[in-house]
Amino acid sequence: MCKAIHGIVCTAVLFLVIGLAGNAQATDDYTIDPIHSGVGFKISHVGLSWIQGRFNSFSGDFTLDPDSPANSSFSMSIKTDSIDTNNKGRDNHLRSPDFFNAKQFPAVSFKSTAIKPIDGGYEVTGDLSLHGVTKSISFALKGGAKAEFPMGKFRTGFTAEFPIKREDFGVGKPGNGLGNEVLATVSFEGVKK
Amino acid sequence: MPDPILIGKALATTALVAAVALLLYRLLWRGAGSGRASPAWALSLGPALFAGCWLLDLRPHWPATEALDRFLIFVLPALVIIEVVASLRRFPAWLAWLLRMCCAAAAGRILLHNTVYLSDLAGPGSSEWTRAQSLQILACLAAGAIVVWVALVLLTWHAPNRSIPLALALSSGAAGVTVMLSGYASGGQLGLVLSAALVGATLASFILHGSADVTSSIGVAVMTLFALLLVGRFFGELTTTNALLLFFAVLLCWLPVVLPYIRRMGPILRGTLQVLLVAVPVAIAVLLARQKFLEDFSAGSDEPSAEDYRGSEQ
Repeated sequence: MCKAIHGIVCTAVLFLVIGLAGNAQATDDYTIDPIHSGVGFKISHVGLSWIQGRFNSFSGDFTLDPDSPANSSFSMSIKTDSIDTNNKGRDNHLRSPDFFNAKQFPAVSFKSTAIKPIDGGYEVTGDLSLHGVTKSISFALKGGAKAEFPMGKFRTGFTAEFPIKREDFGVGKPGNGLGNEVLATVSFEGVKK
Repeated sequence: MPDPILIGKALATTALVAAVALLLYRLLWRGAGSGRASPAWALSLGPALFAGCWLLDLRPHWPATEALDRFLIFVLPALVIIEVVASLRRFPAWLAWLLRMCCAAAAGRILLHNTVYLSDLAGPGSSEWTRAQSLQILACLAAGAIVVWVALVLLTWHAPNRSIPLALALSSGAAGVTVMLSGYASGGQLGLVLSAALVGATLASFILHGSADVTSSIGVAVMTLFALLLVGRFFGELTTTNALLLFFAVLLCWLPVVLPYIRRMGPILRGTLQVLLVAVPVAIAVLLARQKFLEDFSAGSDEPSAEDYRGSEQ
């Protein structure tokens, strides 16, 4: 009798462990699809117009845990020398030590540290490393709808728009006709691994 | 865009600091350095360069993460200290030259420290140069710096003339403009500051009696010019051709000293010719940089090719 109870308890514990393990694997891992994603920005010029630009080379991964969003995570790395503002001379200047110093700081990286579900997405907090300076930033990441495209490739996508104060990261000097605030736009699709 | 009024004020102050420092040194240590190269010029150029950089907001930051910071914190003080030590009567001349060569050899490595060229900043094996390439490039850079430094010091011993700092001022001023046109606007200002410091010290030296002992100015000026061009080449878009033209142009100062007929000319005429000869390659470099600058700013970004989209098909 005692042996039977012991056996039942062991089996229950085993199922519980398997169940928990199964639950732990319920997270979905995605790789950012660079073809259907974009990292752009705009910055005010002399307070008159907005200069728009983008980074052409970036990569990233994210993990979504629908049951426990706090366990989700996002990370992204952007190559600074891929900056593109549709003017070669200006792009060269932006890559120089006057701004991004792409040879010394070749990447801008972001790694989430806290995720909170909000209406229509997540509130993401994380460390942004830019120009050798790391600071915590928060933004609303909207989206999360899922699609199968093409057949057999499961994907989801998000978009975020948030301001960054370039002087906080030592990118360029104050003034020079450029606004301090840069409005960044990140829109990406992730393909399920 | 650099502010021309601010630059003008900074350059005038730099020239003034260099001139006052040189006169003060000669006033306070009238007999110092006799029998050895006087450190007056190095002691005049060092503070003047710092003053100019400070006024132009090129202040060094700590930790020295950027090349210009490392130049102002490590290389420039080392150059001035070496020239001061070298002027001490009991200091062996061979050791002074060894220190100078070590400084010239180390400068390239110091300026390129922790960059995509030498370090794996984007993961293992991501550095742009292999270890062998790094050694070759750094050796070539060091050899170039040493050749120009030694050649100009030998020239000052052979035919001392104030035209040598003036030729260096011309080269560095042009190098500053060229680096600015090559996408590194604030970095190029270092060349203008060096040029102003050399002109200020040269003008002040006319007040002083006797021949100008400019030996100690060579190291500071050549290595500052070297640092400026290296930064422009490896951190900006300065072309190798322009960098070479601007750096080696000063070697043309040797021509009027070695060419027959011309070497018999008076020192003023020969000095003028030295500066004019240097002006030729320097002007070519500025014109080439200006042409590239105009092309780059009139063009959009490089158009994508079919190759850029090939990844999407996979």
